[in-house]
Amino acid sequence: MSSLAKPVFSVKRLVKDFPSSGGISKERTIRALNDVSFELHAGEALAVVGESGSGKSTIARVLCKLHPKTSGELLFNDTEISDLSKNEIKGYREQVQMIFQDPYGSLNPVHTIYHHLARPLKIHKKVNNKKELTDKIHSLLEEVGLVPAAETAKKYPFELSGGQRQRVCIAKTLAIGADVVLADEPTSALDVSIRLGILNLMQKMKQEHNVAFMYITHDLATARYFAERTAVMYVGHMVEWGETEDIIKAPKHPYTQLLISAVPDPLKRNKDAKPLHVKNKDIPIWSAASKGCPFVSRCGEAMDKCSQNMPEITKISEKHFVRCYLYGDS
Amino acid sequence: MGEEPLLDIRGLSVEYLVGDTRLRAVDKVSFSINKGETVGLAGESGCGKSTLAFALAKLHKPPALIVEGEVLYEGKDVLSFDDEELRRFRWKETSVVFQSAMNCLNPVISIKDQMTDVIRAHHPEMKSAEVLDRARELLQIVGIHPDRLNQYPHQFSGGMRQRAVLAIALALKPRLIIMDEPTTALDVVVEREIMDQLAELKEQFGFSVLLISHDLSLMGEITDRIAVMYAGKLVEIAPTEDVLFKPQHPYTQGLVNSFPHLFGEKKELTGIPGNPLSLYSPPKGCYFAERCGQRMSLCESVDPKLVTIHPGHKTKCHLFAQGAS
Repeated sequence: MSSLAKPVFSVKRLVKDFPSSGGISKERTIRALNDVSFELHAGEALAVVGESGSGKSTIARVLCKLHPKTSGELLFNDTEISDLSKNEIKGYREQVQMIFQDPYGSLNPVHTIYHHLARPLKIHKKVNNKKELTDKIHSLLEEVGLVPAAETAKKYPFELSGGQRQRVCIAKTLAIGADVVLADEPTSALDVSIRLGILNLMQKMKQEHNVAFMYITHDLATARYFAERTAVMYVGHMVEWGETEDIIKAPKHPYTQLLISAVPDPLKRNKDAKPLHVKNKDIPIWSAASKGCPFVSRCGEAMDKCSQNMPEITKISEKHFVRCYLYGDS
Repeated sequence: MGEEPLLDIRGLSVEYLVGDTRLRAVDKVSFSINKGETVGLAGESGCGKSTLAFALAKLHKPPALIVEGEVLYEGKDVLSFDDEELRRFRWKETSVVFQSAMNCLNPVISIKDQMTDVIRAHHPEMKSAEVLDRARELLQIVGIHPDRLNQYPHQFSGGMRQRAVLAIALALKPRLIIMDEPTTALDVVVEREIMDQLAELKEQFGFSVLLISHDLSLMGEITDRIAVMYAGKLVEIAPTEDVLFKPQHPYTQGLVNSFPHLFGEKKELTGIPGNPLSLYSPPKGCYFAERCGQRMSLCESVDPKLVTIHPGHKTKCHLFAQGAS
């Protein structure tokens, strides 16, 4: 862990509201992210886990400047990204790249793989002439394991399998030398036997190119495999974060405990499965006016104060934090 | 648990007509499901597991064709049933819960009407009040408050819709439920709730389950036996523990090694190199040979037979061909 080193990306108290046209909620806005803070470090992966609708993808989209933030700080190498000029944004996009869930939708079906890799290289002026461009594309394809490279470059996306397409998307982020990669469920659309290949490739990028990863997933087992640190999201709130091993072996927040007890694991077979302590199965819709802990309606250990204020951060150990009244003095 | 087979699949092959070519999506698959047993059918997308599920209830439609084989339900061949026999067989004896089943519900018809429709169709003699009571009872069984019977699918969450579909599947007390990826679209906590519910209901009603999934971890918790398919062929079938902890076929080994564990030792995993087979150009020998780390020259020319390596454990690989019957 390089916690002492300066983080590449530092997010402080990020809030993101989306306008609501009514219907679902009486409020005019839905608060998708509420008071989210974390850091990304070079050569390290942060897994963001949670159920669908917990705001995992919204974080990546705000970081990519696909959505503007509502409040909070987004510091990339100490620079607030919301204030970047048009020219600076281009440089920012060069350094921060995204990998999407659906590799079938991420590539243009009427262009060859060569085109897909040539475009970022040309836009960001990474090569000087055509020969260099071709050489670079071939070496990128080899690096992501798409060999023979010269033949793959000529192919169209429909000629590649899902795993191969995801490798092309990874090659695109390598092409421009991104420092930060935001990977939004990069393996969930792929066949099971292919997933590990992609995870191992990202692992290699992380180690060899010192890339900082944000790995968004609902699969805790792959988070454990790939990411050094994990943050658990629930309804737009980060409820617990720390080193992945600590989160999985010693979960503190009742929601994390629920999530981990729910994961199927063959090693659990024949052991007495612990019954889930879930009071109310409805997940709340959060708005700016909502208060308290979002998990209170389902929590078996909820207290009066839980529905009044969101608990502050409690430090469990040097690198393990939780937001729950069960811990700490207050 | 009885050892008597409820459903016995013998040499079933299903082909798809694509242009002038016939793609063999299911190739001579044989296995049985005993009374009260839960069998898992595992494999990657495109391996034919859903096609097989359709064929079992004769629900397949052209361009899919059953070219050979038998599906014996208590000794009677389902494939030779006429329409009336099929109507009675489906739902009453066997019900099918399809992938993303929660989208199977008609959005403009209330849950009540969708449930009572099934009961009325198969029990025309029942009085309205009885039908309604049964529907309320079914919702209660799957853990939904009966007062929500008059609601529409959009008023239910994804997990509740899936439970409602499960309730409809149970409506006629079938003896076999075929579930095709029943929880793939759901969050892990909801998946756990549905699976616990299923285990409880199974205990209560004693039906058999064929659970189709790509998720071996999920299967590991609830199945008695697991059958593994690759490119339309059954490559291994054995008790769940053997498949998960002592897999014999190189493909099963690869598949088991493709899942990182949440607990236990953390080690580097490799997955399976290469890409799934295209059925347009099937090889002459073993279908898995191209991706197999233990390939021999024999594998490229001869397709191995499914052989019993010890009682209850069959595998289709040349590594085990010697000394087999």
